[in-house]
Amino acid sequence: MWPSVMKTLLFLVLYLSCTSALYFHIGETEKKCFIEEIPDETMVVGKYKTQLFDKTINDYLPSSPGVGMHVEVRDPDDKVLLSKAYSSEGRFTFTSHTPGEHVICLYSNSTKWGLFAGGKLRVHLDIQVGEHAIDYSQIAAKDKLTELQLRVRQLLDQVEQIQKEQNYQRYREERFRQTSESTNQRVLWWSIAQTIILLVTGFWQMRHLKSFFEAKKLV
Amino acid sequence: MEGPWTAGLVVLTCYVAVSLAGELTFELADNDRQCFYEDVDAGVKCTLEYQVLAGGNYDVDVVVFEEAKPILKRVRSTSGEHKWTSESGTDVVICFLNKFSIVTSKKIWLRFEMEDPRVSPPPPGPPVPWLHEAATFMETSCVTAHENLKLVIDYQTHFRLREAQGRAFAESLNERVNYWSIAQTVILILVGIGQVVVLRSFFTENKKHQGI
Repeated sequence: MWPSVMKTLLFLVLYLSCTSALYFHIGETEKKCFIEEIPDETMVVGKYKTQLFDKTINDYLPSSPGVGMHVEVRDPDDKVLLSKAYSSEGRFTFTSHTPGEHVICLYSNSTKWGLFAGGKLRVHLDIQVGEHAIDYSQIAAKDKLTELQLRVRQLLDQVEQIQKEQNYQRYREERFRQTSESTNQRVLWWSIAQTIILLVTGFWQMRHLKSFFEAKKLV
Repeated sequence: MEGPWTAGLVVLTCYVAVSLAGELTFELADNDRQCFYEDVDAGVKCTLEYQVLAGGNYDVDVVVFEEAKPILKRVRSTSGEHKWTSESGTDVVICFLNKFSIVTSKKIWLRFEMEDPRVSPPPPGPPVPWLHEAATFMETSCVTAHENLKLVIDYQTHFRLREAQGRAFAESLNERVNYWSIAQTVILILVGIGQVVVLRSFFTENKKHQGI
């Protein structure tokens, strides 16, 4: 039903397609953070790979497993969702429980590599959210699904993701509207308050000066 | 059975491999720079999309290099999209600079997409070419729906970014209105009292002078 060759190949392809990612350099004690604004109950999968500069061949090589990365994920309420140390290559997964901005921070655990790499570590990072994070090759292998079933499964996941996003969109629109309304109210009340203060000040000035002049016998 | 399956696999493979995308959102501190790199083969079509989501005047300097040769240079840009085809087949360097800003940090979203035209895209015409014998209505529908949903997700992403930008602006406006109003009220009261004090001092001094 599902030829093994195809399964492995498909897995390979999906795997390869996911490993290609942007990379950046990270300093010894540097912390790099990335933000993901996601709805609730959404799965996020992050994959990273580190490389160290090798002077002998003048290129970057996969770093030894001793070089580790610390991954920390904070939810919108600044609570730690995930805080774990991984080796030179890793894959971290978390599911959001509150909608909003999730901050994913990466920093290295050791100072050993700083000596010979010029203090820079190359990090390949790929973050996949929601439906993109699902590994269909694994599902296909596990549940023995046919091509069509797999496609339908993917469609369902996509629709679910869109629905979650729409829901979150509604929530954010509400927040946006509240902010706008509050701005409107503030402008209104502040201007009324300022007008009143202006009138009161003017009135007080006149009365005060009048009594002052009268006391000084200037008028 | 093996034949069509394998053929289908090849098409699916190409299809998946054709475009690779990476999406990241990050915070760029004031007077800072952040560069991203990607190994790109020669002839690969690259697409870079970026947008400043929050901070200051929603602007950032963007520079893209390929083998020390600048491909794109935009100063104080809010959002943009740039497509080019890699010629050298070396690293592409995408840098975001916030050097002109002394106090405000920026939140930036970027998406980098690569497309290899040599890997043939799915042939046009009726979809699901890989199972041309078994291609039922169900299968074609699935593919069409999948493609359309991908578009929906893409539109949603852009809408989300726009909304995030608008919301950040609205929130900063709200705060600014508040602080400026407080400042103005304080100034108003101080000027009111100050005027009286100054005016009084004029007449008191005059009297003193007259007295002398």
